[in-house]
Amino acid sequence: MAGLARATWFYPLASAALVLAGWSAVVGLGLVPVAILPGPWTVAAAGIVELMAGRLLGDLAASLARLAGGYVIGAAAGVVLGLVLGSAALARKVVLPWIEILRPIPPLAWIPVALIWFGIGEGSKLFLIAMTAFFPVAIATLKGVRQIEQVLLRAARSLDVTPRQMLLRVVLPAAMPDVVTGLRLGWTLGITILVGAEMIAASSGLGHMVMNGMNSGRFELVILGILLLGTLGLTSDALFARLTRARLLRWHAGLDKASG
Amino acid sequence: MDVRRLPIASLASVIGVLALWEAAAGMGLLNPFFFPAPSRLAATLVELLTVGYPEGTWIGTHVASSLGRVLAGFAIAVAAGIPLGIVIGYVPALDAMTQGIIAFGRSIAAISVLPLFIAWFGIGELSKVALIGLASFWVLVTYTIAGVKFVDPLLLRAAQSIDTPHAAIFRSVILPAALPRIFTGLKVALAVSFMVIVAAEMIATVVGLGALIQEARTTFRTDITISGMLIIGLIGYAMSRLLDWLEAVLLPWRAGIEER
Repeated sequence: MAGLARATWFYPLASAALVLAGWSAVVGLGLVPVAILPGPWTVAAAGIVELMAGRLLGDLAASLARLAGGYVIGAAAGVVLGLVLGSAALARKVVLPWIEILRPIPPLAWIPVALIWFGIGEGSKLFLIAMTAFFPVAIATLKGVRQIEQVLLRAARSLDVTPRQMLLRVVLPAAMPDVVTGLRLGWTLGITILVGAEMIAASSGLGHMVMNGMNSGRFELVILGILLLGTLGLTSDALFARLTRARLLRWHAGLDKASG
Repeated sequence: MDVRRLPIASLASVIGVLALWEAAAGMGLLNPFFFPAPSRLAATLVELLTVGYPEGTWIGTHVASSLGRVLAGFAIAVAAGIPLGIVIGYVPALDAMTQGIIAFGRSIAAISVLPLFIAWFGIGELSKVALIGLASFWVLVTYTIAGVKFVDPLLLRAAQSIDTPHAAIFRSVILPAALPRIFTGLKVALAVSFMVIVAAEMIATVVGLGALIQEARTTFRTDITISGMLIIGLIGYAMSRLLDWLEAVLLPWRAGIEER
């Protein structure tokens, strides 16, 4: 038992089994109406039916496409603006007040305005996710650039590097840990916004699946959607951490796992 | 950003953009339906404060009902999450068992659970309060566990070496050392709660800030949507400043600890 308990898979598996058992017991013993809390088996069956019908993968693909598209736009804009603001004092003075004014607005509160400006099609979702990713990435990049040790910059300058080399070989790599923190936060927030936007105004995607499940009284679809969204969040975040550590942060080997 | 020593360029930027926006709207270059002029937004703020929207519902009513929901849900999460987090952080076996569940719980976008909560707790206040409770619960548990788990071992050993009783170690060493992280958890949880309530109100109420901006959209009052959004940002900002201030007053020993 002691050896078993030390295995990394033991506790997560045991706790998942406990949760499933508890859920099954509550439903099986009839403690709550099945109509509003279907058992795990009903949810699993619904998952298989939806998968076979092709709706599940369709919704997943729609969500992922929105997320990826908006994220790439927002994160790229955030990194560029962060670099500019980090290196030009005047730009900082001119742009930062606007960032400070807009940043406290929770991204989900932008949904109605996004719908007004971009309609209920894909445009509004792309805008929302891009904007959600933009702020944390821009601010983290700015912070990263501002905290680069002056010695590094002076050393590079004394070697007569071109501005392009300075940016790509010195500034960006040195700021990378902060940039990555911002990128990760932007991604996590992006998933939340995606769900909100899809629940309020979409005709496809996992958020729509949840909303649709509620409106048609099929709560196994609601739970399926919740679980899929949680899995998407959990796995993409873990993947993110692994990828960035292997690719983007190689030269920061001494750093701990950061916000990990 | 320190408002007291705001550089001229920043002031010029804010005033300049507002003036350009006003001018462009005045000359008919901006469609007032999409981009109401700043003067129009100011007039709308007055309207919200006096007549209210929907007519007769003063803005204070929306603010009070949103904040009331947030605080009620938040209180539940504090009462459940912090004690539970302390116990889990203190007992390594419990920590190992719950890690997977908590990581998954945190990954679920809280807003996706709203349909389920509406079915369980009805369309009234309880479903929103429960949603806020759920959203802040995962955050609070996570930060509390981390706070208790990562107490400086040197402090613990020092206390143990002078034969401090268990209860005293807990009260005088672990708790003070964990409080800064717990407080960070409170701040994050409040920000998350505010975001979630705005979205929940867009889906399932008629009173509240989220309902205000969403209703205004459906009746083509873009000015109210944008003004309401700015009010939401202002409240979010005020709440985070209030917590910063509280933290400085309540946890003076935190001074010097690097922010996140």
